[in-house]
Amino acid sequence: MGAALPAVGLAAAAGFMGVASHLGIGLLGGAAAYLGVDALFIQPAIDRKQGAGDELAAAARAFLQRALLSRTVADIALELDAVARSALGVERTLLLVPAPEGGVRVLGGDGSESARVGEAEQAFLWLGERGEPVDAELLTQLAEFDGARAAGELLHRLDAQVLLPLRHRGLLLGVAALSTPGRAGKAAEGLGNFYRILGAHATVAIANTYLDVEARGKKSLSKALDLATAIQEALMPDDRPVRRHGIAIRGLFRPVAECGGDLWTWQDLGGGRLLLLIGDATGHGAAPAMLTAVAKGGVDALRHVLGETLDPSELLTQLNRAVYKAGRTRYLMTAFAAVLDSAAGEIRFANAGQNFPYMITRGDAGRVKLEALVARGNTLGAAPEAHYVTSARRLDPGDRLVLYTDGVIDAGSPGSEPFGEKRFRAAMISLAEAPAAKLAEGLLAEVDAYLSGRPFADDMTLVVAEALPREEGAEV
Amino acid sequence: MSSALTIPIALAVVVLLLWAVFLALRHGRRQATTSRAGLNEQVLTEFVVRSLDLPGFSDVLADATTTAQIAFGAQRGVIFEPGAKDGTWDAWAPGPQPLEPVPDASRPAFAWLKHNAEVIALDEVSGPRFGAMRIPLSDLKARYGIDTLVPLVDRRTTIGAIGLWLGRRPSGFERSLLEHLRIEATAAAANVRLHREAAHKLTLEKEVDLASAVQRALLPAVQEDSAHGLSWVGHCQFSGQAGSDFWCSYDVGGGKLLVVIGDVIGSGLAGSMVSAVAKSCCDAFSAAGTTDPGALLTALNRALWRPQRPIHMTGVAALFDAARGSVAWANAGHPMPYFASAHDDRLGVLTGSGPMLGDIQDARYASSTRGLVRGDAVLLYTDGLVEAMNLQRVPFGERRLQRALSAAKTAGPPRVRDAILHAVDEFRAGAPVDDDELLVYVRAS
Repeated sequence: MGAALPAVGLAAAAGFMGVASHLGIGLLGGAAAYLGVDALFIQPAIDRKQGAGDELAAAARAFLQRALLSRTVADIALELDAVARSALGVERTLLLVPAPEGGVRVLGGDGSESARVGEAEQAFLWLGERGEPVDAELLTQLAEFDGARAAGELLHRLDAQVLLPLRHRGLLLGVAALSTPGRAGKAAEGLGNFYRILGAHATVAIANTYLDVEARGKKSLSKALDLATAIQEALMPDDRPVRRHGIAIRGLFRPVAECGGDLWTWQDLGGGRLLLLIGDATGHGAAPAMLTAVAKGGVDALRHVLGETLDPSELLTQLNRAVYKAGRTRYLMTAFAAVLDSAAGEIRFANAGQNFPYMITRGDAGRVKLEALVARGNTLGAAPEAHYVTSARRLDPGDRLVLYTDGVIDAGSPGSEPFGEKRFRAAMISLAEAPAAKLAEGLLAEVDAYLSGRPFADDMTLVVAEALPREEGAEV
Repeated sequence: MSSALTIPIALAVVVLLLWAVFLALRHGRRQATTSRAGLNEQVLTEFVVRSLDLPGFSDVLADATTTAQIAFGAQRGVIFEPGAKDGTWDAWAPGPQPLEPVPDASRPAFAWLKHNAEVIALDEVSGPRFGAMRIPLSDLKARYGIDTLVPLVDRRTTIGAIGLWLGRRPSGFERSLLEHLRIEATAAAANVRLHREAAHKLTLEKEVDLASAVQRALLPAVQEDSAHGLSWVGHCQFSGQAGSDFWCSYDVGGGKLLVVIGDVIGSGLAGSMVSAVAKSCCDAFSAAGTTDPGALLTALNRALWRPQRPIHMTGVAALFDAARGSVAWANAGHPMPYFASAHDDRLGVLTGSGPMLGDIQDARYASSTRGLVRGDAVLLYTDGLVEAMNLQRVPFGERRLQRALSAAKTAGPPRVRDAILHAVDEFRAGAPVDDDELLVYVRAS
């Protein structure tokens, strides 16, 4: 029953003695007097004490709320000064932060800024290690340590009594210096916890101000990369199936990051010939994407210059020069180029380090046959000059050519078994009857099913070309 | 003792006793609150100091939720954080609780919270303040068994929310403590989130750096040279990490020099990609013997033309032949090059221009020709040079370029380049470079 217990006891005693007796009246008087004192002095004192605690907490909270909205460290210095002034009666607060150009910025609560604080490095190091508020008295006690002495000198130079190190993730972001002349030395006592909270609040506000600048920089960077991705996609043929000169083509491209290092393209060379090219620059990101742009420019130009006389080995020789120049051997690119002529029933191809594409054909008695188009050559960009050899083989109606990049075979999360050549071949055989578009989609669906939602680690490109039976060869 | 006094005294005793009981109750309750408040404050303070060292966004939210559960005796804590896709939200509880997507119907609540960043007692959502949000908020309450929602809003973005089941309506004091928690948790969560963004920025910066290194490799390695009675310099300064201007020069045999400059519409990496394509095309064309400026631009236009997603650039190709004393050029929507004659103090221009490259599928570009004698010179440049701004946002302009060129034209190409760049720099007076600046100067010597 707390503070009223004595009064109740006195009243009970009065009742026991008889309220009308002299003693009873005296006891009742005592009870009344106690209650009067309690109501007039004790309770208000308790209220005040609690109120003061609430006030400090509310002040710290309001400071954080305002500081979080600040755009600059100077604004935070203003807020810190205001809260220390109003909640603690601190006369002056200075915020010391390292300047980008070296040295220390001293930010005042009146918006002033100066750089004249002298040598502070040693004091900062010591305060950063300590990470707790220190006052003049403590620094005097610790004066045998060089760091503490340096901090004491800093305190003296700033005419302050308390130093609050603002440490964030092991890094000292700054130091707040509080001048409390009325309570010199003793300032940290009892208020230690409040200082700690205020320090934590100032720290997070400053850190967030710095980080916000970076985060905004990131936004513009990712926008730049997004635009680059859009251009890269513009350089690739679109996803729609194509029919040209008795050949149906379907290509699918899935970049893993903002930009990819994969490239595929088809070009109508005229004279009933189609050029098909697939490439894979080392790594993924903007730099390999730039390399694919270089290669694409080369292909675009050469098909204009050479037209139907374009030869796969000659194309790769030229691309090797372009990639070598741009990649400076830091970036390489594998590529496979093929010229398909369905009227002549021939495919001519050359390879620069690209994994061998597959031909799906009908063997004897209509059995599905799967064979690799084997041709070897140096990876593009490894040497200033490289020579490639064009191979040729028959292309019959119904034959399918499957081009793919590493990403398809290697699909799988790190540590787990990749999709692999075996599964890929099995999928091709099971889908052998499907037309080009369905074959490409079906193969990628197999990879997706294998991944079952896990992210893939490398760009995936898959291109299927099918020699159409004569009557279906009309252009679309 | 008279009986007349007994009744007033008895009444006084009763009143005093009632008062005593009232005061005692009040005091007892307040002491209980005060000690809990003290404990709560301490729990919160520890959260602040601790949360600044937590590694992940989810860690901070989990810690804040657990702290709230301890401080307020909440039986349940649910964490809401943005999902992988924009606009989606996931819900989970501290401990090994899997993520669960928040249904579409409740999502508008999170967008609304950014303008209403206060602790919300979900029992009160029928009030007019909540308007259309009544349903989404009530859905959250029913689905996750929570009665209090603590939104975390930083820089006008809802970065997360904490749902609690208190089982009671919070008192005024509890509300202020909840607000305290909200602000602390917001600061800590924003901090981790910004850290993540800043780290991501470093990765992206590295990526852009690598890409711009590839692009710089596409610029001619030799910036000044002389051969076949011609001497030339080129200069290209990118405004950012990645530029969209390019130039190239080819010794195409027979004592001829082919120079091409280009300016891609679009900036940054995207512009660089297009300029890489164009540069690569020029290399291939010149290697294949397409050296006539008009034919080169016609072929370049065909190669760059894309029906669905057009890309545009302007450019000039010029073929110098000192032995025969001629210069041939073709222009695709580019500022006309200056011609500085050895025998005339007035500057001329290489006139005539066709459409921008990539604009019209079958555009044809014709070459023009004029004589070139010893001492004649041609200045090719991109608009970034004449549009260089000073701090007052005044452009450098053609006039100043002409004056700088006229004053320096009798000197050798490197001196002319230096004089022009010096004039631009002096004019700019410290203002930032905000467009790529390119110039190529060729002189018959």
